[in-house]
Parts: sequence; structure tokens; C-alpha cells
Amino acid sequence: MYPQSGLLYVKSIRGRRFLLLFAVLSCLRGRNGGKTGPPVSESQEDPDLIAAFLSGNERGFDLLVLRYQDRVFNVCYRLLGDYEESLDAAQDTFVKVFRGLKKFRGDAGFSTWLYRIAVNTCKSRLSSVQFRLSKRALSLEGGRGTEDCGAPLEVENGSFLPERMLERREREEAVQHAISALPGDWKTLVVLRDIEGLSYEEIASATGKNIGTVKSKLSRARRKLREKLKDKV
Amino acid sequence: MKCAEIRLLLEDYEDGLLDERTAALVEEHLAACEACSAELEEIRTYKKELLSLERVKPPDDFLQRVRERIERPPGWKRFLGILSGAGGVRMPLQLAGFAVAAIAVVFVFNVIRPDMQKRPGALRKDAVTEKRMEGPAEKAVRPEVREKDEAEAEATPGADLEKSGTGIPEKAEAEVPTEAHRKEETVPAEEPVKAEAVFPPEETERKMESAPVLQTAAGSEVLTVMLAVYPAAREGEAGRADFRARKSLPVSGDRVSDLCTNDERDESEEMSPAGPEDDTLDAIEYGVRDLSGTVLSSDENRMLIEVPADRVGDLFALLEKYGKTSKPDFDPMGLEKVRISIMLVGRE
Repeated sequence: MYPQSGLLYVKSIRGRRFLLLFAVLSCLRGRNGGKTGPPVSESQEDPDLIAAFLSGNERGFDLLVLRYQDRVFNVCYRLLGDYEESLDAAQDTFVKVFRGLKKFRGDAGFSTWLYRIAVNTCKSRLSSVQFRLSKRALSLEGGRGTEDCGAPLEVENGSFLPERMLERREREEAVQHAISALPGDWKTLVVLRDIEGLSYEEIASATGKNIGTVKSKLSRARRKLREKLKDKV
Repeated sequence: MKCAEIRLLLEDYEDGLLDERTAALVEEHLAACEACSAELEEIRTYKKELLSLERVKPPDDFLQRVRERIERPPGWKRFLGILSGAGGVRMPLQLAGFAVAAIAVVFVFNVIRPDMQKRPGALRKDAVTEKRMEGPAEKAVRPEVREKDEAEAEATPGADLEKSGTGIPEKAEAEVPTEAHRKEETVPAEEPVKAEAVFPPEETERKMESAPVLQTAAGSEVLTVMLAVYPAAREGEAGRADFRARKSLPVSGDRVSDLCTNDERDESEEMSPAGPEDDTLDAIEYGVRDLSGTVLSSDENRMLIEVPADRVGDLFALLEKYGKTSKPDFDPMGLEKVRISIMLVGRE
């Protein structure tokens, strides 16, 4: 693409400055295109992988995805309560990371920044009309993709599952339902703290709230959730 | 420490976030109090339940899907591509641009028009239609409009037509202005509940249940103050009557427990489902921070705060913004910080 652009330019100005332009374009290609940059490995820390990615080695980004895909996907799943939606939101999160990594200043940890993007992505989905409409349809695929049961849970075929597993599945669904019923902010705090195990500082950074607000809102959210679970579980 | 204070600390205790001294106080209390021990057990069960949730696994080709999405052109480019290649006939880019502009014009008109309909003139014209189109969702996102309308309705008996036009209540449909209805609204002192009939039931209930009680403790000296704070928007005869019906205001030196039995506390807690939309505590919380205070802990309807003793006066001034408070006979001299517990209780 670049050499072609260069040729067009040469034609229009009859060869003048061709060499200079070609040199500039070659430099640009060298910087952005291809998988150059330092080699990376799975054992490297986040900042090293980010640095590698920014200097042209996209493998750095791939390793970040592999490292965090589970966590991001689970956060999305707990916030949205729907497998397909969560999958979409988690992918969206990483696409945003890919495009925005240049702007990442490293003030907070990469994971915190990543959680922040994931939470915001889910929030905008939760408020979208499309999502609300789709939630009207009852999905029976609650357990899809979980570790011990790859097949979707079907009510008619419940008898195939061992009783205990079915009970556990029902209990999990009840918990997920109770979490989903919490208002947006509360839900986010419960998921980040009690399921993902983030510290108050990390949650404050990921949600853009101060620690005191996080603590007080979380406390109220937990109380509400406990009440709901007492009835359901 | 009393049960109410201990319970605010239980979650931090379970998370191991308390300092040694406070943790020891909590443990000492737990050893002697069955109710608080039961609450701690409940917290533990809750945490266990959430931690035992199964991890959901993303598909094996997750990375590949992300990669594909990254390489896909952005949405606007795809949109232009669809436009320029629609029906297999390729359009010049300028034409595609023109089509986008035309769509934008249509979109803008569709967005602006509903706003124009919401102006007072338009409302009068289409009051009933608008009211039916806008449902509870509209109510939920525009509480300030409701309060304003309600205030206007109280000030201007004939303003109910405008009020119904903003899509306020389900009930409003049946309340298209009649003489009888207007009469009801002109006597708020005797019929305060009827004036609130425009709220959905839970909303009304919540609005009526926002009278916090404040207890103050400072170091080893326990100074207790009860304060009834009314929501400013609801400050009226109903609220005052309710305030009078409460226990007489205490003098400094009393403990909350002396003034309010356990049964009363429990009952009041049950009666005040201060939900997420009830932002009285949030508002106070922000104000406390401005006073260099700290929110030590809080839950659905209680909040434990600590403020510098010399800012206590400012704190009461702050609370007065949210309703009526009784100023206690309290001298913070010699104290560095004052610990205050605020509790939302029911009013009915």
C-alpha cells in the first residue's frame, strides 16, 4: 500500500522528493507493521508484555488476553448474567484494550484498567435497549461453558444430571439471579469484591469511586444480597 | 460498643481489615452476644456461597475471536461499505456520504421531536397520550422532575394537568383533573397521603421513610443525640406530626439504648427498606467528607462516621439541609474526634 501511494505521489509531482517520501513510508512500515519488537514469554510481567506490544510485537497483546480472558469473562458473566452477551462484552473489552493500550499510562495496574473497561462495557450493554429486549426471552442455557458440564442445561433433560449437580446448578442460578437483581453499582461492587476478590483500592480505581464510597455501598449491597439469598438459597 | 456499632464492623472483621484493638473489642462482644454471632455466621455463609460460584469458562478460541474482531473494520467503515455496495451496485463515496447525512437528518428529527413534545405547550395538548407512552422507566430516571412537579402541584392546585403530562404516575391516568381531585390536593395538611398519590406505591413508601436517628459517641465518653431528619422535599405537616410522635428529644449523656429498646430498633429497621435510590445517606456521606470526616462503615440504613470535634456544628448544619434536626446540648471541647452513628428508620 505504501509503495503504491508513493508512486502516485511521484507521478503527480514528476519524481521530485520521491526518495524522501519512500524513506519516510519505509520507516512507518518498520515501526507499525509486522511482528517486530522484543520477544515475549508467558512468564513475563504485564508491563513487559505491554512494552513489547507497543514496540510492535503483537504477541505481547495475545499473552495478555490469554492471561486475563478468564477473569474478564467471569466479570462480564456475573454482571450480565448471560453467556453469549458476556462473551461479546469480553471480546469487546479486549478490542478496546488493543486500541487504547497506547493511552494506558500505567498509573494503576493493567488489571485494574482492564476491569474498568470491562465494567464500563457491561454497564453500557445493560442500559442498551437491545439488551433489555433480549432479556425478555428466557434463556435455558444457564450452565453453558462451565467446567464440569459443557452441554447447555435443559429443563427437560434435567434427570440426566446427577441430583447433586442439579441442586448445585439451581443454587448457583438462584445466586446469579439475586446478583443480577441488584442495581448496577451494587452489582459491580459485589462481583469485583466478593467474587473476583479485588481489594478496596483496586475496586475504587476500577470504578472511579473513592474507597469510602466503595465500602459503604458494598456494605449495603451485601446486606441486600444476603436478604435475597436467605429467601432463595 | 453496642450491637448496632458492632454489626457495622462485622464485615471488616471477617475480611481482616480491622486494627487489633477494634478486632479485640468485636471479639469480646461476639463472645457475649448471640445475635451478633449469628449475624457473623450469616456473613460467613454469604461469602462462602459467592466464593463457591463456579468459574465460567470462555471458549477455547476466545483469542482468535478477539483477533478477528480487531481486524474487522470499525462499525462506521462497515456501514459506509454497506451503503456504497448496497444491492451489488457500487455508489461513489460522495453519494454514500450524502446518504449518511440524510439518515442523520432523519435521526436528529426523530430525537428532537419527542423533546419538543415534552414542552409545556405540547404537554397540555397531548397530556393523556404522553402519559400512556411513558411508563415506570421514565419515572425511574427522572426523580427530580417528579419532585418539582409535585411541589408545583402543591403550590398551584390546577397544575395537575401538566403533572400528568410528564408521565408521572400510573394513577395519574385516573386523575385527569376533576373538581373533586383538585379539592383533595388543596388540603395537604389534613390529607397528606393523598397529595402523594401520584407516586407509585413503593416510591411513596420510600419517601415516607427517611427519618434518620443520630447517635453520637466520642472516645470513652458516650454522648448520644437523636435527630429526626426529614427529606427537605417532604417537609410538611405529616412529617412534623410524625416527629412529635417520636420519643421526646434526649439530653446529652443518654445512650441510644436507653431511649430505644431493641425491639423498637429491630422494628424500625424492618420498616425502612432504604433502597438504592434513597440517596439520603449518600448525600450525607459526601457532606461528611467535605467536613474532613470519615465514613467508617455503613450499610443499607445505617452509617457510622467520624468527624473532627470542631466540625460537629458544621455537621448539624449539613444535616439541616436535609430536613429538621434538633440541636443537642453538646460541648465538644477537649475531644479530638466524635463518632456518630446515623440510622434511617421508618416513619409510619
